[in-house]
Amino acid sequence: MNQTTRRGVRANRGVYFTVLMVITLGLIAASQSGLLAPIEGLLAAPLNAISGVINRAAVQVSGGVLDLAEIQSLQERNADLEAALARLQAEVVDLREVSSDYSRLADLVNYVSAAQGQDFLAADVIASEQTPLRTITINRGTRDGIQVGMPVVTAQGLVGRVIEVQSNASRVLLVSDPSSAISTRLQSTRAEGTVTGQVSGNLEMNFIPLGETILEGDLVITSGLGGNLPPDVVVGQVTSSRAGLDLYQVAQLRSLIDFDELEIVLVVTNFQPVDVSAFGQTGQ
Amino acid sequence: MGNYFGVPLLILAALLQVTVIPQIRILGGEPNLVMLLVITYAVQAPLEQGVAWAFVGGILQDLLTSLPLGATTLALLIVVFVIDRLRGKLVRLGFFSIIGVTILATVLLQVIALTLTILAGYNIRLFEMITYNIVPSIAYNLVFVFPTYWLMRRFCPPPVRVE
Repeated sequence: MNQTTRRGVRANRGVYFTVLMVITLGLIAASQSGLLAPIEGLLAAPLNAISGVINRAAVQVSGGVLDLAEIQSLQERNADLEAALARLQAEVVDLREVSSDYSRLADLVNYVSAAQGQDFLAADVIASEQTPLRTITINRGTRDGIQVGMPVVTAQGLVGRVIEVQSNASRVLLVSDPSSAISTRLQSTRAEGTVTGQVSGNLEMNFIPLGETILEGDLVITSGLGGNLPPDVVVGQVTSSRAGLDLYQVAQLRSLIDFDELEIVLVVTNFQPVDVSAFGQTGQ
Repeated sequence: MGNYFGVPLLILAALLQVTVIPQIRILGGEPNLVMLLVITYAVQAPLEQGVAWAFVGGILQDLLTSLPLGATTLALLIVVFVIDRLRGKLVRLGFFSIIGVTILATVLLQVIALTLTILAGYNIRLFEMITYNIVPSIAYNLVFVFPTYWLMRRFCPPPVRVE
């Protein structure tokens, strides 16, 4: 920038600030309305590709750091075996990774075989976000047939729902996000309720009628009501319950999924969410 | 040097933000690398360069998160202008000024993000977000801002202006 421009900027800070604010607010409005989606997809594609590689490395290093701490405690207890242990431990880390990958993939294959009538697409988790929404980013997008609303699962149960799709990546709103609300039922008593995420990352099942029995350890599964998710997908397990406000009970749940350690997920590609908003309008 | 390394550095920070940083998260809080880079550069650089860093950094961060394009840019631009407005005072206040600007930037970023999320129709629990996300994020950013400031002064100073 030349000196004249610089002097202009310094002399007219107010105008400069106003112009930039207008441009930025215009960008936000255009982005919110979806006008910029093609450009955002184009710009984000290379970044998503790189973030997939970095994320994989970060997860491995994170696991490696924990294993390193184990090696150090062994070194203190037995100095003679220090070098041998370090070598063996490094091999163990590699083998654990292989074994862990195998185990996860075997679980997913078993799950896919057991779930009749559903088509799945496996995807790697390439990024995660905690605020303002709790989301993960997966390496599948419009090119792979992913659409907004598709459920995302693992062998342990429901992960969330696709809320944004780009060409080579998609964003998934986790069930543990406070804005997520899922129609569910208790597996043993069939009592229905709504599972919502908590800011702490836990799950809570609300609106369980007062007369229903809530058993600790009971599984909570999707009911399919509302048409947004397929029925009978595990959401979590009851850890405790209490009487809520009004005429309902509340159950605390724990998800069987560790959302911080997610690496591979399955997208249910043949599930079509049902738009029930038209019924609501008719009723009004 | 800041002009040459700015974009690659901001790209790297935005990528690390969504890949490595989640691994070191405490509660819901995490340091915001792009914000820290922009603040520590803007404190030493002329307004127009700080604006450029805020614009590029904000766009990059928004591309990799669920926020609409321009949300982070909006917060960073306001912070850069506040820094410019307080420039003389910032030099006198030194240590405390960096703390103040970091807290302001963290809060502003979160407020804009939460506002846009609410406007998009999502349900937000404000009090829990403050205790679980915003306060730990402020603490994290305060821990990281001084090493970042030192590194930026050492390795990425703004170009010397020839009047």
